[in-house]
Amino acid sequence: MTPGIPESQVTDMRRLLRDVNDELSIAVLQIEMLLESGGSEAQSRESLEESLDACRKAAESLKRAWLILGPRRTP
Amino acid sequence: MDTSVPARVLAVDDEVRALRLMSRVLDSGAIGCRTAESAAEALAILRQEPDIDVVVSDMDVPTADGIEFLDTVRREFADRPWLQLLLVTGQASFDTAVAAMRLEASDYLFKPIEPKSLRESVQHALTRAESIRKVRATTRESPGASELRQVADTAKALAEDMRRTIEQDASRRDAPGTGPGRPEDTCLRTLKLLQKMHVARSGIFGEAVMPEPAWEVLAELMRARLAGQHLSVTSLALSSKSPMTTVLRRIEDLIQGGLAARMPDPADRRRTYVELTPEGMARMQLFLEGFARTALAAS
Repeated sequence: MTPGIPESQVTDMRRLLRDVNDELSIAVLQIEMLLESGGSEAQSRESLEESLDACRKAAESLKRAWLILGPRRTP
Repeated sequence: MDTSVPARVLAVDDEVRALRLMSRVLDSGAIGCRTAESAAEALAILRQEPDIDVVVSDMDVPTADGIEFLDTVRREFADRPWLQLLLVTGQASFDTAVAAMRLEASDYLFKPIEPKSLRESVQHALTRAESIRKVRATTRESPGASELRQVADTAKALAEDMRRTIEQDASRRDAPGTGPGRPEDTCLRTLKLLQKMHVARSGIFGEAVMPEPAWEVLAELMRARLAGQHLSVTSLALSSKSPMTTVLRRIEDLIQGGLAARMPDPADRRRTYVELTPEGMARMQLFLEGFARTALAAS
């Protein structure tokens, strides 16, 4: 039982968090690839780097949310 | 990317965009990649394409848990021990990490993955797969393979020799009116067999690779004891194939350990000989008889 979250919703919470993480993962890979290609103008590059930084921060918050939920229970 | 070169990586993920991106990342590192959106599709590709060396799989592939899928891969493709498994996960858990270790996953990547770390992990896994393939090819085709067969044949012949010897001992012991066989006979025969094994092994691996001076000294002392002979330190050292100083040190170790003792020669007080102590004798007897029994049970 996760404190404050009804057990019936924990599975849904996990699925949502996983989906968010998957989306973030795609965004990070896309941005990294754009930055690697090195073709962007300086201003666009700065925007991309900021976006990447925001994604990383979001991913870090997600990790903390996983920790609060605790390990997945095996049936 | 040269499409004529067979892909050596298979990426498995139910998210098409993630697959496309992974493929692009690897492609930019000149690494050919096939993709599968499900465990079933991945297994079908693996069956058709033996050139795949690395499987990069999301932990939550549809129709199967990532661990379950990789477990199936390990079981079904047990004849491809070079297959490297890379797990991708968004959530680290102790259970997953343990399961990944059990499956000998070569790496564990956390989302969001960075292109550089993905390429590095895959490249590392490819290198490892290649070296395992090379080792297997070498042992199958090189002249060393015939030597290994020779080792196996020698071991088989020795095991048969051992079985016959011990069965003869046992039948002599059970024969009416003959009484129990002498344990010394078993010890002597076992020693001879061990000596044969040592000679066979040294002939193949070379004497310098696996020297066993302490065992050589013990066996020589046991043989001498069973034959009622005395061995001087010098003759003991000369009979060994190891360097003299090493043998002398090992003799000292055996004396310190209470397994051997230095005795003055009654015929010539200026000379000393070495012999097994009762403790050394008892342990050697225990070992040789136990070895003979084990060999008989295994043959």
